[in-house]
Amino acid sequence: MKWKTSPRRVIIFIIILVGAGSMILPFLWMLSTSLKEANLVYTIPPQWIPKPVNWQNYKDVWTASNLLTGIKNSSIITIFVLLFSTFTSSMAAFAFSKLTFPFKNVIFIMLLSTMMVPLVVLLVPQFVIYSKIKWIDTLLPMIVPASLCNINVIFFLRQYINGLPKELLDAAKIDGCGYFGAYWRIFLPLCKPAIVANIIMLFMTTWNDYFAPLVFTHSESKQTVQVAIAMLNSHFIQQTNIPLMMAAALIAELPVLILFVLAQKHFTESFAMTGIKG
Amino acid sequence: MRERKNNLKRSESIAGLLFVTPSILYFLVFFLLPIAICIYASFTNWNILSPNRMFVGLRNFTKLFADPKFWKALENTLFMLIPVPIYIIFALLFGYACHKNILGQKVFRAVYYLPFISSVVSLTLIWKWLFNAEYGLVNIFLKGVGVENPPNWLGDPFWTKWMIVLMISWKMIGIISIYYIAALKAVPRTIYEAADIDGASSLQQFFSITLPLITPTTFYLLIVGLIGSLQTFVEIQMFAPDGGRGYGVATIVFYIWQKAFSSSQMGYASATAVVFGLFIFALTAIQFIISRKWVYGGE
Amino acid sequence: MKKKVLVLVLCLVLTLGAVNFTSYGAQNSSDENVKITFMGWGTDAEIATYRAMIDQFEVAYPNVTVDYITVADNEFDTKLQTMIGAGESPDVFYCSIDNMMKYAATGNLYDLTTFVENNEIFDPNNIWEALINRYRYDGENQGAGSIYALPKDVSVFPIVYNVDLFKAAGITPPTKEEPWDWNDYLATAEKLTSGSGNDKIYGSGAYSLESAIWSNGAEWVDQETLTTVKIDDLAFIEALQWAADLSLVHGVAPTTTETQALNDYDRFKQGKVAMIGTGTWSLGDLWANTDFEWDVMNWPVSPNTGKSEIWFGSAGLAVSSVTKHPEAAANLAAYLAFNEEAQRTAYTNGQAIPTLKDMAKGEYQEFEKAPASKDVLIDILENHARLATQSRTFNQEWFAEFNSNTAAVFNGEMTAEEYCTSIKPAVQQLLDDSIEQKKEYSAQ
Repeated sequence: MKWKTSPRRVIIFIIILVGAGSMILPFLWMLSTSLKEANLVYTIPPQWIPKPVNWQNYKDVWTASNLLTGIKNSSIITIFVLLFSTFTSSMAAFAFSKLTFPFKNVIFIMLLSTMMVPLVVLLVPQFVIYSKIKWIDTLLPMIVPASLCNINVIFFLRQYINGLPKELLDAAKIDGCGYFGAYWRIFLPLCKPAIVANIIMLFMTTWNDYFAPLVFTHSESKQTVQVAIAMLNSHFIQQTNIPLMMAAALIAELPVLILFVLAQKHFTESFAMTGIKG
Repeated sequence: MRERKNNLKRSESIAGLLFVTPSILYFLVFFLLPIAICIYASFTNWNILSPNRMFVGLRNFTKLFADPKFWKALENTLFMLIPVPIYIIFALLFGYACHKNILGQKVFRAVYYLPFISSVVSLTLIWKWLFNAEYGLVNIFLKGVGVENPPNWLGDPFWTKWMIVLMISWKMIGIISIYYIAALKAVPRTIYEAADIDGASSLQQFFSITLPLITPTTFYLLIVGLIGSLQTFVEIQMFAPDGGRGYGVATIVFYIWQKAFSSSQMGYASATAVVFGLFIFALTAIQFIISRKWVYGGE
Repeated sequence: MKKKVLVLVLCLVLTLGAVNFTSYGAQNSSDENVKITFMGWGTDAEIATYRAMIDQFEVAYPNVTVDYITVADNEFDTKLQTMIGAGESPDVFYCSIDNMMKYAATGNLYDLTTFVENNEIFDPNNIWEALINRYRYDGENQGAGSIYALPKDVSVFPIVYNVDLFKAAGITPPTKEEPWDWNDYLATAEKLTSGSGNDKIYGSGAYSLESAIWSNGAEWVDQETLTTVKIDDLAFIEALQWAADLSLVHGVAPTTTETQALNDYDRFKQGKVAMIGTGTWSLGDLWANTDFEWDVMNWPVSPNTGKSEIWFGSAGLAVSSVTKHPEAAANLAAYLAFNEEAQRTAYTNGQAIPTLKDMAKGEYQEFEKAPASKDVLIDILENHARLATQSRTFNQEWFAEFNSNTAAVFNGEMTAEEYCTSIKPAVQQLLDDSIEQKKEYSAQ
């Protein structure tokens, strides 16, 4: 690739540079604040590099908050959802793309319609259902529905599988594979790049979910990482400790950040491959 | 032969249905059933603290429409649509620049995705601190450039709302640009080559070729963005736990949440949810109708 | 039913043999081990205190294990309702006076009347008058009928002041005999206000609206029937305006913007404001997080009436109506509320005033930690404190409505008069709703 230079390109470059600055600045500020002593944050002009650098917050945060339990619970939820949801959704996507069965389109449109209904409509009745089946204050409301079906993933993978030749299915059948075999041995491996991209997305939405655990759990032992951090926000109304909050928020960010850095390439590539054509 | 074909067809049908069974299960248990319960509950005076409930007809609905807070919340909810065009335009700009291979685009892209992969909870914590009226970076900066009375971002609902608009736009630009980068790649090169021969400037090309050809993407993003924006909740709950001064920040979802879980009026909250669901549905339908006028249809 | 009989029998046995609580506990130890959940809120200091008190309880009642859940105070009620809605109510929980009627009317609170009557768990003469009947409810009104909770604490809301700043400015605090009036308070605050930027020190924090309004002889709602909003009375408007003018006109209190940036309480802890109103529940936190000397004083009197009023607070300890272990749960509530040992733990950890009068007036006065003027707290509680009006209505939405908008007066967008006149219909509407809700919930 050659880099062309023209005044317009330079202006655009500067705009984007400024934009990038605004994207990253809040995070640097978060880092800087998390390394300060509690009272030091209330000085003007602000210090970018804290004097002294105080790592204490990163120690204290584990006792001052429920972060450890939160990380444990969020990890459990995320692992289950990733495993099951990838499986069920890719299977459904395969069926919608390559198989013919009765009511296929009706079912697909039904599933798509779930995207149109605001989640909050479901909130109260879901709460009722979960309390009837004793799921309140367990991790199940965050795991089970998400594991059964993720319409975004189905939609996305269906597009992807649409791009794979139908002959693969016929070939598989000739080789004596059943439909499940065809899915499991042929199509699933071929979907790997798309699945990796989806795993990042799923990881992100599951790990970052706040609404469901807020409503469906209440004891400290069932808190997820986001609820634990949000608790810091309300617990400290009378005793604000901003550096501690920043430290907690930063710790909670790390897993997603690491995964993203590791798999960034797949993430953008898959989008490019499928394209979004609605 | 024919029988065999029928057999094959039947086994394919069975396999297909089996493969989508979890999805159907999800649809029935976690979607259809809740909607049915919601509609039923909207006609009752059910409160969370008491096992007894009775039918009250349309009372929840008449009370809802008479509640000034509901209308205030609706107004605020519509306000939350403002970020959608903002981030779409900026994402397109950024996506276009990346498409044209701007210097350092890989680094830029990673940086632009950063806000999106962060959780709303973390982001609101950072923003609360950034926009602190006295000690926040933003106001210190504003004072530095000569603004005498920078806004009380978290205390004044007007500014809180704008701050949320800014935050959502900021958060979304990166991820939305991915969609545009993909869409831009899909535009066939030959069309540009033809335009080059006709002597169209690159600006003209952008407006008369690129923009129309990526309208399906724009439409998709608008629909998804609309549905998402109308459901803004966590930001409100974190920035203004009581809905803000004069209920000036509360959205409908916040209103529903408050009614259901703070005031314990589950029936009333369900009625609100039903009304709001219909409202979103209507808005989306209107978008689809209008879309015929501007979305590019065929290839 | 069976459980009630069990409790009755148990109580009978106990009243025959038990005189004081510890021996009662020892005899109570049936073989069955029970586990109960207890949910509360609080600052770190309060949580630590309750952990200590629970440990003591578990020693006294070796067969009972307590699972202590804590929730942020502003989310507590939401959480509790959700748990009740899901059929998973904790066995014992904090129940603020504000919400007591709501939970009692919907049948979620265990009726403790028999338990109290059959056990000498407290001596009525040794409990603050203000508390005794607070947690009774007869389906219509608070203050009479069955007992639905035991008072976990009693707290008052004095002015806390920075003694170092007072000394530096040569100010003598008011005394019981010679109280300040509003003008004295303002003059003092002016003397104490100094500096700018990082060194800005304010004389006063936001002034308690309850104190200003009640002391001036005004009310939010008529006290007889609790049905009519009276916020457009002249005395009410005058008091609100006076409180707002501390910052607006006189500049002796932080502006609303500054309060938003750093609240009065944190500002006080940093030595940047000299006088603030705060509840006695913060004592423990102030011990730990201040490096100057501080003390408490009573609120100034209104120059128009010559009297001074402020609210007292209390939260109750309620037992769930669906608990599987009512006797263990009731024992825990009673222990935390009245046990001498537990009350001692509470005050030595900075939790408010002992619920037991003799302890509050006796050993607590000798206690070495701040504030020095503990008699002021007792004086406020006995002579100047009352239950807040919003605690006596079925819900508090009308009061929240009023409060959530007062910033408009404090930042000068509106005068107190404009504000009170304009918001009155909305507040009245919500008060009417509250009355209607009471009828509906009670009928269910």
